[in-house]
Amino acid sequence: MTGSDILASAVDSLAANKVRSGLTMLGVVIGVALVIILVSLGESAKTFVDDQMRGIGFGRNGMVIHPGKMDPPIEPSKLRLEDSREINRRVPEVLDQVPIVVGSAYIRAGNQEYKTSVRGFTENYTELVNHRVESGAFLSTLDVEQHRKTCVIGQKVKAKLFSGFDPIGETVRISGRRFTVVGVMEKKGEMMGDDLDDLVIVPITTAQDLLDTDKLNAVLVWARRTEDLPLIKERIIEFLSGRHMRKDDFHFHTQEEMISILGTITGTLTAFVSGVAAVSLLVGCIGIVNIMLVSVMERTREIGIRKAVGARHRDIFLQFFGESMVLGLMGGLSGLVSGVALAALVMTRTGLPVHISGWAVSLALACSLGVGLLAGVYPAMRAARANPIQALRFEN
Amino acid sequence: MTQLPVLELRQLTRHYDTPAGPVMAVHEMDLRVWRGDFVALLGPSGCGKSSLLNLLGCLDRPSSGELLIDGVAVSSLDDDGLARLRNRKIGFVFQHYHLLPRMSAVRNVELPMMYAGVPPAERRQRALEGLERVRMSHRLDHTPSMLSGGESQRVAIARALAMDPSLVLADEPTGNLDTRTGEEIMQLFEKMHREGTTLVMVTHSPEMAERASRILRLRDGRIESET
Ligand SMILES: Nc1ncnc2c1ncn2[C@@H]1O[C@H](COP(=O)(O)OP(=O)(O)OP(=O)(O)O)[C@@H](O)[C@H]1O
Ligand SMILES: [Mg+2]
Repeated sequence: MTGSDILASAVDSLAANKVRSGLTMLGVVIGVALVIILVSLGESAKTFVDDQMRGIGFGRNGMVIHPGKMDPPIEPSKLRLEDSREINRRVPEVLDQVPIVVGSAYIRAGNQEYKTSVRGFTENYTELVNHRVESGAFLSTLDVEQHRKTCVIGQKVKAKLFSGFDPIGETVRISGRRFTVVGVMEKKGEMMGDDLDDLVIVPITTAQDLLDTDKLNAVLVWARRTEDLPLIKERIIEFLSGRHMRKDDFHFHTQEEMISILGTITGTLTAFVSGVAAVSLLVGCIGIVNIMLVSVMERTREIGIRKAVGARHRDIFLQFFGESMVLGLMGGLSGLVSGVALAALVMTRTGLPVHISGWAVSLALACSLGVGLLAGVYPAMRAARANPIQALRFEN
Repeated sequence: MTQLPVLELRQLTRHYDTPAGPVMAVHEMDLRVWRGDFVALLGPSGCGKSSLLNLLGCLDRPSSGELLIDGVAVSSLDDDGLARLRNRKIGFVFQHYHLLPRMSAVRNVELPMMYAGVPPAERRQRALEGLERVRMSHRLDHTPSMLSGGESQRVAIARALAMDPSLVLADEPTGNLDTRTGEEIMQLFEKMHREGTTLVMVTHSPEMAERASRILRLRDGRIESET
């Protein structure tokens, strides 16, 4: 008996009972689909965060200092511009830093006016972050030092206020004050829910004047080497708390931490869904055992006939074992298809990158093979052991 | 003449243990069947014909005594050895045909060859030839449920002959058939006999038995007489 004989016989007898075979596979289908959806979504979310971070040039060597104990900060910030400047001087492991002030204001050109996001940065922003100027220039050192009223606008602001002509050199009014447009940022789209096209960037000093504050919303810090991040954190804590703050007046976010926060949220979910997946695979396994035992019973006479014409122990075993494997594998493949389809659907709907985890597919197929294998052994052994005469005499 | 008997029975015994005590279905039987013999086993119901045939066909093992097939002692073989023996040396024809219901006629005939490891193309070729010999070439793809009793039995005969066995065993092969169809099957057996196949056939009918070369009458698990 060759492998294709075994396969043909398995497919034959499963096809003879289509509905029953289908229902038997259901447990495996659900289990496998869950495994795929689960692992793929998890990996997709991770890639998403990674891509977003890298998209704005905030790689694994980046870190954010947030004022306050927690997010979002409920106490007013105590971080000042001098603090961020001090970081470069005090911590040599730091490649560079960008202080950030965020607010919103009405921006007006001609008779067009609307509310947009105002960001205050230092001149090194475009060098560190992957967010470049498309035309004109970015802010200069002098702009920052001298609190100049210059600004760089995003693509949406340009589209809303300057339809059809070049905004460079034009004057806009932000909260009523006159600013000169020196540049237009490239189109960037949304990053982590933040529209990087709908903003106006001004010197950090000017932003503080405009928003009437001497505080910062955050400081972005880049390490020369990723592995120095913990050390940098220590140093910054040390000198900031030495200056004017308590230890819990600020906290840090690294990309790893953001991913791990995401991880704990999805982790709980993952544990739950893994449980469901494991249970349905187990149920699938028991279902296959059960149906295989019924099938062995029903086909006792067939087994007798096969033995009478010369089937050995092994031939009968392989026949029924093959059937169980095909059941498991077909369940696995259907689960694979529905899992991939569902995962892709969820990903497109939620805006996550469509990513099907290769190892989830391998894991799912391994699971279904394992189920087919486990479920097949006992019934196939029962079939193989049947006594030929009793089997031939069996009435059903 | 030092020809080896196809079958040699030495004090062959098979008893069944039942709650009502042991049943001697086959009792200390001695017999030799030679190549080319056509043996009919005749006897009243319950005298042990089927029990004997099952022993001869290695579907069952004796309680005591010895059975040699082509000189090989069956007791020396394990289950796989017996399976091999059934596959290569023995062809069965049953009263109830015992074809596999989901398989077409050709595939039923291919079955013993599949277990013998004959390659698929050769299997198919030999099955077609076999069906031709029993004049069933017009029903190759029919499954057993689409075949008449006589047609089913012809397919079963083709299957029994598929591996060109030393011995064909038939347990009431015409028992389920009307006289005319039974007659056709008997003619097939006579043809097999003429072509040199060794046959042992169980029957209830003395007329059928007459057509064999040897008639053994059984009673209570023993050979009562031979003609
Ligand atoms: N598995 C068994 N367990 C117990 N007793 C059995 C078994 N098989 C057969 N017998 C008994 O052995 C005796 C011989 O049975 P067997 O089937 O060989 O008879 P037979 O000659 O073939 O009868 P028939 O012509 O009716 O087919 C009978 O008395 C029967 O009851
Ligand atoms: Mg009988």
